[in-house]
Amino acid sequence: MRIIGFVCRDSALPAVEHAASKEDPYPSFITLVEMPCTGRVDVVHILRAFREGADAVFVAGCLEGNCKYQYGNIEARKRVTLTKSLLQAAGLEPERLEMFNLASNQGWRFPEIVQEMVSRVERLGPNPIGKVKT
Amino acid sequence: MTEKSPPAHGPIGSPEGVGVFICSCGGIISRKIDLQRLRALAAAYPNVRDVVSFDQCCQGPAMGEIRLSLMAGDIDRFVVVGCSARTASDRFEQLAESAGICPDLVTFSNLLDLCAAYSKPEAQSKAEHMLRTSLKRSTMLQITPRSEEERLMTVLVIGNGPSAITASRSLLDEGLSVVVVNPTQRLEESDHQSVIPLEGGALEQMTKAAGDRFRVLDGTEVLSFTGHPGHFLVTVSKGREKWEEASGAIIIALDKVGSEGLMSSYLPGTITQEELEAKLKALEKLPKNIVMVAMDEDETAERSPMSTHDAVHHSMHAKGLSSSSSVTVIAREFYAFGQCEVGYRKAQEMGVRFIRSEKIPAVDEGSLIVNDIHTGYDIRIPADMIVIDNRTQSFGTKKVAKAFSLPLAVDGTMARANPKSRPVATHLPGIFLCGSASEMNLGAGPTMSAKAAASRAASLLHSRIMSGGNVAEVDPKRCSSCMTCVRTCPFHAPRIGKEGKAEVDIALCQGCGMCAASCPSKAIQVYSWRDDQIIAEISSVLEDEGQ
Repeated sequence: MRIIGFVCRDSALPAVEHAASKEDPYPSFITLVEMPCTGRVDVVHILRAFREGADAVFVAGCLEGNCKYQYGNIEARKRVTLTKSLLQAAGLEPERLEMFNLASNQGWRFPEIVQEMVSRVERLGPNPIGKVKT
Repeated sequence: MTEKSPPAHGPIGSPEGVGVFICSCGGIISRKIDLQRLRALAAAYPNVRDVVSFDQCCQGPAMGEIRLSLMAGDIDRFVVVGCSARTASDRFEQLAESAGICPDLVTFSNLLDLCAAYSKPEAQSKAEHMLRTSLKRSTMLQITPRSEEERLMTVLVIGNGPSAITASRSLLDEGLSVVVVNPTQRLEESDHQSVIPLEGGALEQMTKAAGDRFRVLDGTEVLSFTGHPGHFLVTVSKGREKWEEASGAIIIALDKVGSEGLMSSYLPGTITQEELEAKLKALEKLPKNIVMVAMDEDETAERSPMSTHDAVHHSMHAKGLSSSSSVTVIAREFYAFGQCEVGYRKAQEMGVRFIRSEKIPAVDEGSLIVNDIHTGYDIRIPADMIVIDNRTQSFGTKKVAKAFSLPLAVDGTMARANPKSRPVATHLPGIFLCGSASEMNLGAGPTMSAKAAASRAASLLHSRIMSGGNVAEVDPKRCSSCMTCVRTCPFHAPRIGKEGKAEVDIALCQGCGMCAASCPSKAIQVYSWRDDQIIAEISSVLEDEGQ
């Protein structure tokens, strides 16, 4: 199983670090890509992650109204919604992609997010695209 | 420092050399992870010139050694393997700068937190994976554009009352010049909200002492602004006249002004909380039935915690002063934050009645008819004295918010960047917020926030203002001038330049990358977060996982 997460530097990443430094490791098949703000996450990045073989992708940013850049997380949610429709058009289940919001002190939320994505992949099976060789 | 920074759109050159500094964090990291293997892995990676491990990278002797290694000349970037960027970035970025290395070429790999909870073999493979990803990222980084901005030692204060005066006084003490843009005819010297009231004549004294360093522009308004921290140009108007005021920082210090409020429905014999406070202080004899109406006339208005705060405390004191009086407090909702919680309980123990009601109580022959929210019944409460909230309303915030394109909070005041970590900052760098122009600041009060805003502005102007770093850059060849970035950016950094193409002002850009992600022509790239860098990172992450 391969799950990739785009996390924002100011909220989601500290939350993950906090969660991971406790007795609760996240599965090692989850890898994180640090972003300055989830507003930087582009449709291209998400699609690329699926093309390279990710079974699921999540984007984790700040709570809405709490973004350091005012509305980066709201921009991200827009793009996640757009990408979901693109996935559907391409024949992939849109549930493989999700946007989450958590604050930097909500480390406890991260295992929930992981669990949610893992159970979705268990239900949907591996990414049918597999890895496209470039 | 202006460095030769390659364009964000050009190809990424190969690095001169990468330094890898591995920290065992006093044994915490080395307990689980074999640093010898990490060193071997790093040393085998292309372009890595120097790999050293230390017991504690962030300590003096290790920092000295790292500095020597950086000065040796064949390294132009380095990876710190140890703790999080949040913990270590300040220290290592400073070190990089002192060694002549661009601070944006420092990469951090947080083994301390992210590998902590794994078992030994798992931690090792995770650490190796993280090191490979960090090395990949490090080798793809570019030198970023940086420049130092000029600083004007003047602060523009927009305000009408004590907050503006307090802020100005602090700024003058810091040796800065102050221009006050005051929309009213005269600066109000005191109001009930000041925690530490200004002594009479403070303004006059200040004006005399400061000479030409202090100017008050009465009857003026702010229309718009351009510029960046260190050099703002604010367009000010007085009637039909318009001119520009230059300043290094801006403080929005508007105070609330009096309003009629509930007074009109309850006259005569109604007093405000402020007047009651004066009576309590003078130990005046109180009537038998006291009713406080701690609610705003406007039912849709945001409920102010401060109004119940006042009512709770005054009811407690009134009951203490005359125990035979019956005291009732009516509010839509009771807020009791911090110490007020204790007061709320104590007031209840002393026999103060608290009634919640959605509707404004009606007056009927010396008593009030209250609709109790819980039972739905109307209750008749005898009232010899009716106490209402202080009659204030926010003043001018909407206009100022529009001039600066700043967001408003739900209660019509201006939103702070972060209520906890940046309570006197706005979302725009170099523009600060204090007084009742900002959202409710429980406990601190307008005077404190004015001092805080002044000290933020002063510390900004007293240190070097560096702009640049991980900023966005437009490729004019690809730009279709669609204005998407201009509309998306929360900081007004992109604008359409002389050539008819978008340009990003690096002094304003905060590097969030929203413009880059929303650009339909993919004409914008962000230093250190270029699309090709991100995609390479995604590929390397997944490649690794696949093995």
